[in-house]
Amino acid sequence: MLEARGLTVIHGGTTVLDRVSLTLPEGPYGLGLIGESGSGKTTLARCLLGLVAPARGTVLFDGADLGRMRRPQPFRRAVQIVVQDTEGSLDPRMRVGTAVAEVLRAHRMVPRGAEPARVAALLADVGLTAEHAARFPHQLSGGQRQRVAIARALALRPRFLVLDEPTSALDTTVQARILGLLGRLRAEHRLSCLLISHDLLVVEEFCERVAVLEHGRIVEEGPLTDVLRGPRHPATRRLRDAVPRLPAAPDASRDAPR
Amino acid sequence: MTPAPGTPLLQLRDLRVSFGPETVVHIGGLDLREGEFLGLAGESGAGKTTAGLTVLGLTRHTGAHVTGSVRLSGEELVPAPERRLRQLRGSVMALIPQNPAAAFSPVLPVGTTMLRALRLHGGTRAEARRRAAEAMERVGLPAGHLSRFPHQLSGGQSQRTAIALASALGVRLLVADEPTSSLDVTAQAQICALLADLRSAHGTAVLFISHHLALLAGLCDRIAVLHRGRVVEDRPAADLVTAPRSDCARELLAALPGPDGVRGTGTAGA
Repeated sequence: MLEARGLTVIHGGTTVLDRVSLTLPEGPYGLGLIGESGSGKTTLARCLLGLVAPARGTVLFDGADLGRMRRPQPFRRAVQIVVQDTEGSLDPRMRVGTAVAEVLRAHRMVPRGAEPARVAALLADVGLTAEHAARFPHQLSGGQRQRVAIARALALRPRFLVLDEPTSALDTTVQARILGLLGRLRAEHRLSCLLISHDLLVVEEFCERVAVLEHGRIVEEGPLTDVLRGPRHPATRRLRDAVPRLPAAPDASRDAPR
Repeated sequence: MTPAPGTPLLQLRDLRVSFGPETVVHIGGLDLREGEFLGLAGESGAGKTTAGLTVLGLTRHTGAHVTGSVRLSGEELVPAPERRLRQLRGSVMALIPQNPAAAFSPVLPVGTTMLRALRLHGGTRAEARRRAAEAMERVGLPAGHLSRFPHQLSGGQSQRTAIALASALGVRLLVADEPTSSLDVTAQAQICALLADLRSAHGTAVLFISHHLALLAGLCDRIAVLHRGRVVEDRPAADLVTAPRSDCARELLAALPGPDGVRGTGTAGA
């Protein structure tokens, strides 16, 4: 279990997170975190990975306090992140296959001899081939780069995956494919996911529970269906109403077989 | 030039844009009337941005070979001299790019960029100042923001400033290239509302480029779907999203996020 308890983060006098608590149980599971730009979503993600030390509060990994952990290695493997910027998250001078192998090596995940097979299996798991492995990041599309980032996260056999706007930079068609891939991987690898987004519909597709962040505070949290049907907080309603939706279809043609 | 009555604001005919041997845009015919909102949809790589930039005469510098016809109020732009295009850009037509910060010089306060643009197209300094301040007010920003540098504005604020500039210039046609893709949903809704205001106040027409059909459906009168550079469907927005005819439009609709049962009920957003 991965748990945030009363996290407060202050940057230069501004309270970025204010007593935030949330829980990721064992997977397969999906918790959505929504909020406007600047509400503190990414800071919370960074806290959960131990990349930002909170001024107050703790992150508990299987009950152990992250701030006092003597051997952080199991935690570092178990909690992985995929970020929005697919270009910035991969070394531009490193071929994709090497980038995945590097993760395996850094954490001594497999013996050297088994490395190529494991890299191929990881790339295959995200829908990429040996041909992609030989390419550099700039030779891939945004969606393909995101697949590489997911493969690198999976290389450590994580239990928790923090997805920080993983599809916000992608067009809707590619977004749908990446969300589909993440859904399959979550089930197969029994991943517990925190999906960060400003788009409620993305969260709606992926999560069973949702938390709403506004000015660093969680203003609403609950089962997805409850929050969607009866949002109690104005911030939730604003986010829900701002999402572009299609007009009602006069007939069922959209659902016709294609 | 005074156009004949009933002439569309923008007319594309047999427009081809090629880079080397590759033709990336081939639009047989596409019209945009005064004050109309036309959505240009399509997947990444369909040629949307190239088509939009070509309308503004901005692809010819990038090594593109452009043939066919782009008429603005009847005036032919494809072979038009660069000097004429520069005159038209900023007075009759303007671009709102995806990256709002890129619309302004990073080393100048946004107000300075705005004043330069306004004065380039005539008017005194005092008049330009007044128009810039008024335009900022219309997009809901304090005039004080004019003294800020682009990096001191949020994404939504920069995009509003770009719209303020277009509105101060009084352009007839805005090419908005994914203007909300880098913004969160609430900022996106504000930008869409501002564009709608711009139309009701000035009758500005907008060519709105996006891959998001639900966004286009809420904003546009018509949507044209581009696939491999060609228009595969061009119909009233409501018809296209409720009863798409092309595979491409169907795929774009199917890709919209949200569980199938909730998608397209049209209730929550109302």
